[in-house]
Amino acid sequence: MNLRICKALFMKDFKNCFVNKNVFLMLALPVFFGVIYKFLLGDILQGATGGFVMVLCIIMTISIVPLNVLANMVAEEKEKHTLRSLMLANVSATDFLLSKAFVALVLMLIDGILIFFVCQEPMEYFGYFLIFYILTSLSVLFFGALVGLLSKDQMSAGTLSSPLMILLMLPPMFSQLNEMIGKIAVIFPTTSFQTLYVQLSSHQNFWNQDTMIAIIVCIVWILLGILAFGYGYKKKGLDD
Amino acid sequence: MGKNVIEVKQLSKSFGTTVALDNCDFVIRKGEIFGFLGPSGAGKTTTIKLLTGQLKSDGGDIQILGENPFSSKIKNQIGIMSDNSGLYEKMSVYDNLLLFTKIYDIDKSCIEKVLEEVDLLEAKKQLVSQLSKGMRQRLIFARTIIHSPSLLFLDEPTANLDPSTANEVREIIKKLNAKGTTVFLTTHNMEEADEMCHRVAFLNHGHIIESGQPEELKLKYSKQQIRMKTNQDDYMIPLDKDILKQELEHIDHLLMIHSVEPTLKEVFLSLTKEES
Ligand SMILES: Nc1ncnc2c1ncn2[C@@H]1O[C@H](COP(=O)(O)OP(=O)(O)O)[C@@H](O)[C@H]1O
Ligand SMILES: [Mg+2]
Repeated sequence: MNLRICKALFMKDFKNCFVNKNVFLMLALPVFFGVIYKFLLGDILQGATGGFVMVLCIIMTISIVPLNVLANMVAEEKEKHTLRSLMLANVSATDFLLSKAFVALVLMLIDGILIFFVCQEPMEYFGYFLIFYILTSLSVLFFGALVGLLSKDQMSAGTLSSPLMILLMLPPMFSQLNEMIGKIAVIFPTTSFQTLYVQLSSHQNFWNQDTMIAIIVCIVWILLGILAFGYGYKKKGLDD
Repeated sequence: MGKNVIEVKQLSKSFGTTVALDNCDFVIRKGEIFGFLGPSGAGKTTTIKLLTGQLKSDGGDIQILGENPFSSKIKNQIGIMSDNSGLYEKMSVYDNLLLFTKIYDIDKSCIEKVLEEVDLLEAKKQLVSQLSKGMRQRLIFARTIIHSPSLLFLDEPTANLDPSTANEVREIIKKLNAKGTTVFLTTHNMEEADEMCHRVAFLNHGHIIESGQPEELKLKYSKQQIRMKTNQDDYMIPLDKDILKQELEHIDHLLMIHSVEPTLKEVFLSLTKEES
């Protein structure tokens, strides 16, 4: 890994994210929802439990940013042959992917923090919020990088990431509806975030079976993500 | 012209059942423009990819600047312009180059210098998406040479360019070569090769069928004839002192004597006809 190169790539990608309308829209969407729910539908949702709106928006971010934004950023550089130009200038695949993953992580943090404040969550939870949020973000990040690796252009990145996005978004939203869905939902890191944050704001003892499972699910996803990505990378390489 | 910058021995590469390169041998000398000529599908791009470590060969030996093509030591000394080099469309001309100065760890002042060289200084603030095709090509060129490589690989640098832009690119290549850069160039344009290259190799179906200086090749494959044009006639005679003397004796009004040498294209075509 070359820090100088990673930094140069990071700066470029970070700046370009705000110029690229698609990426910007994807980033703005969860925050926008937060604003709408909080200020326009505030009355209707008054009875909702702790952090309901915030959790909903965070689940959106975790599902969208790594899978859509990260995968698209990788796929775009393949499609436009800029990846090839970088590799010819001795940029390694590690430098390229690390800097992109880091951009995605920073974007997620910005989104998450905005959502936290838009939803006016209690400041005393902020530290825990960040820990849960980064943990769940990492669970999905490697899969986003994998989707980028597997797609040759942005079109195929979209085809691959859309079902995954829905898969991550829906279970926690519908977990209360039926016991069956509730059980399946547990294996998704998006549900983990919900479980952890809801437990935190319930003012009861934080550690119980559910929160432990939630954390284990995240760790398993992170490990699986690294393994799947490593396997995909070995099999296919970044650019052929 | 000194020592060899590239030495290739018995290089072969297949894709499945397609043989892209078959037992190729050649050297490139320091300071020359070497042209790798052949129709499309001949194996030119494959050769560049093998030489620059973008592909693994099936067999043979490649030495490039004394190293193997995958060595990261040489990456800073070579510049590669492939037929599908990409630019960042939403970034300015300047920012595109700025990124690469950071990657190569060279001073920012190189940007202005190289933009001057390819005549893009005035467009430096423009977005790449607003550039014409020729300007883009020149920008790709600028990026290829920004770290002052001593060895350049150019894969069909003038293909798909209009004649005047192609000419501009050729002038830049010649200028760089005059300053000491060694150039490996592929093209299917034989006139271009004739004009620019010190030495060429003809590639056909993965075989090198002939190589040498363009002048040398044209002489070697010349039909050894002289064209005579008088006020009455226009005809050929064999290239021979005595026959010429005889002819000249009974001509009253000579308009032109012309030695007939083939163009590089004709040499290539006759060679490929022989082969098949
Ligand atoms: N990645 C690849 N997979 C399969 N066949 C390839 C690949 N790259 C090149 N070829 C084949 O190898 C031959 C040489 O191709 P190439 O080197 O691109 O020719 P040129 O650059 O001279 O036009 C062609 O027959 C082409 O179809
Ligand atoms: Mg080619």
